[in-house]
Order: sequence, then structure tokens, then C-alpha cells
Amino acid sequence: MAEGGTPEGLNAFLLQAQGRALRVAEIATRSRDDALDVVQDAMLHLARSYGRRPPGEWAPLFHRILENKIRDWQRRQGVRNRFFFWRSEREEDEDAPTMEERAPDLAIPDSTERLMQDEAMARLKIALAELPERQRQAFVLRVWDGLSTEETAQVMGCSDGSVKTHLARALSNLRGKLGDAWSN
Amino acid sequence: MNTSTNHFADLSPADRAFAQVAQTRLRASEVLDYTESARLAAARRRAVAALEERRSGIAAWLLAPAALATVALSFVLIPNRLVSPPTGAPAVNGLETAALEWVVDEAGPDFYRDLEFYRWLEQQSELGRLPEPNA
Repeated sequence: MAEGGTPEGLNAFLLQAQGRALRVAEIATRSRDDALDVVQDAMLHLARSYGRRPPGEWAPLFHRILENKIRDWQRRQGVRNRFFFWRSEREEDEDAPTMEERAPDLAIPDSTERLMQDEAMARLKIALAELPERQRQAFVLRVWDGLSTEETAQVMGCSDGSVKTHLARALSNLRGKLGDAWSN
Repeated sequence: MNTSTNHFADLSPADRAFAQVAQTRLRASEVLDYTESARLAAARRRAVAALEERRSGIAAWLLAPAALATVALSFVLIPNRLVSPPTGAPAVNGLETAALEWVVDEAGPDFYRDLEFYRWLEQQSELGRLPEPNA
């Protein structure tokens, strides 16, 4: 039977996972503060619910918890946005910016310039944020985290075939938005 | 975590090239600034404390029944020992204790079988005349 996790082991795992978790949450929430809250919640959830599991199980569990926390955050934002939309609907004027004009606002504030260091990275983050949830998950897990198709399927709770489909669509979407010159 | 080109073997060449560049750039973006590091360090400390709390809570859960069992066992065994003395055990008095001395003596029981001889031997040695073996 594999040995259960220790506090020192958990700390080491979280230290290694925190950077990517924050960036993934940042892309999904488009806010660094909200992303930090989401990652903090995910860390606590992992420690409380799965801290005693063997450390080898932590990575897929943490991915799943993080995705669930992001989804919870998006759900809460959805409720809040619907409320604000209802309030401001009548005040909307014809000069409101188009989707394209608003696009730069999708960039992650204050950390974008520092972290992305180039326009290509910023564009990738925006394009990733605009992907449908399942496509974004498949891309993050397979490409960013480097999980296998089987591991990704396990985290996403779907079949290997679905992962391949979501990833193919995600790559097609991203390449369509960013252009093939992006990866040169 | 896989970074090899084989990892994207099932993708088309164009998708593979795109995925490899995206992976490199995304991983380069994981560097944290001071504020992020500080907040995440605090979050980690809270998570580790939660795990320690949980472990000590489980230890307490294990200790409680063990302590209860020990107390219960003590209640069953100790009064029995105090109230009812062991039956069939020999009564010990001064005389019998003296009689048993030879059993625990280093010399052993054989010494006491020839006690008269050894007393005579002692007297002879005190008088300085030990008999010849063949005398």
C-alpha cells in the first residue's frame, strides 16, 4: 500500500504546482486577485480532503479541484454579471464598444506586461480565455501540463476520444485566432 | 509531465509545432512575482496546517479508544488481584522462608546434603590439620 502524504510532502508538491495553477486560474478568471483566491481554495481543499492520499495521486486531484474551483467562481460571476446586466441594460447607449474594441480588456491586468513579455504570449492568453471550457481544459492539461491522453481523460472525467476531440478543436480554434505565424 | 516530441505524436505536424511553442511559452510564464509568491506561500502554510490538524485529529481519534480500552482493562484486572488472593499458593512464614534459602543459594542443594562433612572440614582447616586424601 502506498504511503500517505506528509505535511512536508504536500508543501513541496504545492510549491512546484502553484505557478502553473495560478496562471491557469488567471486565464480563466482574468483577474490575478481572483485567481489567487481560487488557487488558495484549491490548495486547502486538497489538503483537507486528499492530504492523506499517496503523493502520486495529488497532481490529477489538484487539477480536478482547481477546475472545479474555477467553475464555481465562473458560476458566481455569472450570477453577479446577470444582476449587473439587468441593472445597466436600460442605460446602454449606441456608442458602446464592440467585442473587438473590448478585446484588449480581456488581457490580464497588471501582470500581463511583466509575465507575458511579448505580444504573442498575451494573445495566446486571450485566445485561451475565450475557448469553451472543455477545450481549454484539454489544452491546458495536454499541452501545458504535459499529461497523457489517458491522464487528461481521468482528470476531465471523460473518454480518451473526447479528450482528442476537445484538443483538436482547441488547437484549431487557437491557430485560427492567432494565425500560423504565431508559432514561428 | 512530458515535454518530449513523442508526447504530441498523435497531432498533425502543424498542431504539433503550435503545441510545442505554446507549451514553452506558457511554462515560461509561471514565474511568480513577490506579491504572488507571498500570497501563495501563505496559502501553502494554511494548507499544510490543515493537513497537520487533520493528522493530529485522526491520531486523537485512534488514541481515545486505546486509552478507553486500557482503562476498561485496568478496571477488570486490578480489583481481581486486590480482592481475591491467588488460591493454592503456599503461605510464606519465617520458618519456611529459611527452609527455602538453600534453593536460591549459589551452592545448590548438594552442598547441604553433606553439611556435616563440610563442617568437619572447616574445623580441620581451622586447626591446621587437613587429612591426607588417602589417610
